[in-house]
Amino acid sequence: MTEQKSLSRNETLKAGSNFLRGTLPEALEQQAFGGLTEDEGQLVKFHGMYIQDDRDLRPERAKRKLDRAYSFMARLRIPAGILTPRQYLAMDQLADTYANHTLRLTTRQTIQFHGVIKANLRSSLRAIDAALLDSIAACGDVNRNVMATANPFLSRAHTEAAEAARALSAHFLPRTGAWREIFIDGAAITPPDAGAEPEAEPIYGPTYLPRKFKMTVAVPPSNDVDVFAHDLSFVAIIEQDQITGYTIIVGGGMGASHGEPETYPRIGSIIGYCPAAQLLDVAQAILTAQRDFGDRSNRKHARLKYTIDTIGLDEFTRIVNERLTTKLEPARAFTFTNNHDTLGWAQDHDGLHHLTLFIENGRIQDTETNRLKSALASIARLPDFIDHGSFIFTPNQNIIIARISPAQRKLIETILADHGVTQSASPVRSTAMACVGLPTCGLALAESERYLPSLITKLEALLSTHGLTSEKITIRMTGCPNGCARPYIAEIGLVGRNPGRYNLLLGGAPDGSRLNQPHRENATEAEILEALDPLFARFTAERIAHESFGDFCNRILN
Amino acid sequence: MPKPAAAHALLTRAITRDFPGQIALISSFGTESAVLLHLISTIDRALPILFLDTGKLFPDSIAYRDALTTRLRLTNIQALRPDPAHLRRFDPDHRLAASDPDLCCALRKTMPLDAALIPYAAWITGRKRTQSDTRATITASEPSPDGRIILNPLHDWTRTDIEQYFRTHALPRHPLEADGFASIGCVPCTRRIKPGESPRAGRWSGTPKTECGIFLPRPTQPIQAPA
Repeated sequence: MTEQKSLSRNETLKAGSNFLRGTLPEALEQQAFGGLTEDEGQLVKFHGMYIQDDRDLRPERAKRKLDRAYSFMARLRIPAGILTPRQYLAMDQLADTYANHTLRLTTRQTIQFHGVIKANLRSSLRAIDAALLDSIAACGDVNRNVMATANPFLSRAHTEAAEAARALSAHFLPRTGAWREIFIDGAAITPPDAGAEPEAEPIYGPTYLPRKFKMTVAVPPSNDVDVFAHDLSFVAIIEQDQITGYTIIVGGGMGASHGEPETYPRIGSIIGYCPAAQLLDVAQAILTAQRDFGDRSNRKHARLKYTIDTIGLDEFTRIVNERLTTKLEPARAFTFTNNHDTLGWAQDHDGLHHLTLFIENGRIQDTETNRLKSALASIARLPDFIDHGSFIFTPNQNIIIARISPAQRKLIETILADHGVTQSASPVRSTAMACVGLPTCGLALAESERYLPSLITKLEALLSTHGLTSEKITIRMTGCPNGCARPYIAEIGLVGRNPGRYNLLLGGAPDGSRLNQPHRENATEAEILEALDPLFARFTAERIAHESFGDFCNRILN
Repeated sequence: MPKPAAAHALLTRAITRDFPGQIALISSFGTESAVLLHLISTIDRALPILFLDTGKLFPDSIAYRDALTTRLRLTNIQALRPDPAHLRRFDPDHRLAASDPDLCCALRKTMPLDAALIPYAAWITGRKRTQSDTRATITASEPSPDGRIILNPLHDWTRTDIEQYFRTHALPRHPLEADGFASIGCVPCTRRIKPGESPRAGRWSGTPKTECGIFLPRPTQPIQAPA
């Protein structure tokens, strides 16, 4: 345990970056080169951006001896995924002015912009800042966007969960002024006496965390945030519609690498309960335990899940308790029904209406037949709704048009219909998720978002031959094993291995509480369908009562 | 002394010398709130900031609160919410704002604030004389109806002073301000103002009500929640 290993390259980089500045200011000035150096690429993540390139264009550009077609992906920090209509409109416009005319909703309740070139980066971030938003800590070795069960307006407990997510996000926001200084220009809002205070990171320290850190807050019976798949989750325990406290889950995580068995997805472990007032203290005790005990020599072994498996869950809990004035109480029970969104209309106690709209793979765009992006912008501009309404991004990459007055419900339905936005997706399509993948993601080994819809069409046909059309089966696809769409807890998981080939994993639980198991490796589409066909047949014949497909596979295969 | 310096001195004295640990700011995160929040952030970022989350606020006010909190690095925002038992009894169908705005404000603002103020000897508000006739005579420091000290560091600030401070410190504006709102409270009881109207004309418009009541003497009969 005390063996001294050399620190990973990123650790030295963070330590020498002067609180995440490095050479980024100079790099932004250099317009002749559209990319960043390796080190700058690592640092810019902390500010919510990745440098990427269009991989579709790589061969052609290489032939012509051109640089790669570099652009940035910028991800926002939106705790609980809530935007006002005004903020949404500003982001809608940003997508057209500086990005690729689309907004990509992520599996962690935020927006990504793709295709922002270096020359437009500062203008984009200024537009984000003007809308009272930011991209601080949206990527990087810090606490990422904090999720909360959507919809915060359906009950007092949902509102409290969203507020908890906002409080966690604010509390763990890096204190460095680098983001504003580098991208917005000048520390405009710095208090007059700030010069007296040396810059510091009271929670993180100068090297931040060993690796990314993800938090969620869930309101049962919905596990839409997938509490078992993140580093730290708080499951609300509710009495009389108010959150009295949280059962705490630590050490979940999806990422793995092909052919490296020492990397693996892990289901979070329940370690106790805390009263609601202790939320920030408990989160800080757990985050700082990871800060101090996480592996800083091997980034593939640096997530909290490995820290816990290395030192043991009991020892980890002891370390956490040592950092708390009031120790954790025994965990309190909760029950989840599923990790989906409930699509369609809902009404709250306030008499307001909310529409959860299915968005295939979270991509908001206009196509010839489906002008979703324009429809949402039109809705955002509606009088009254623009003042009173909200947009909420769900953990399943969908959107909730929230706080609609009864008088406007019909109007909103008309706007959607006029723009060709229909809500007739099959159950299997409407619960499916894919990561972004090709062409922008540098990690993708296979197609994901661009391919899943056509595979679903084939699966729909297959399911229909077995009379399973109305069956809800969670299908999740990622283009690489890092697992952005949380494929390892899906009932059917597909993880990209090579172009056109996927690992097929089966047997996840419908409430997201169990890992699936490898069923086929490196399978083509034909092989995937061939593997599933007999299982669908057996499922129809042998399922017990209302058993889900995931539970069925787990029973007969594992 | 220039007004910002005077306000800063008043706040510094109150927070660090007269009432250390016993003073809180009450902020609505409204159109002018950033001034006082910014002043506080230069003195004590951990000062308790009491925020009345009535459940009826404009989503843009919440967004503004979050943006100011992170930009000014305020670390102690406390959201005060109404007692669910009171809401169940007096506002089961969420129509109380229309039928009895005084009772609605009492449940959603006055009572949660009174309960939250118990540990404090003094509180700070952003009230200004120029806001309305009811506020024309406020002073820098005055006793509240319950005997606590109320500090009004901006009591003599004009619209121009406020504008100047926003510009000097490049503070972000409330998103509703550009859209015609001046003083912003809850959704049911706030409207845009027309040119020439006083800033608070958009509050409880069409009723004689001008103040939510947190700055007024309390009724002698407290409202009882059902057992």
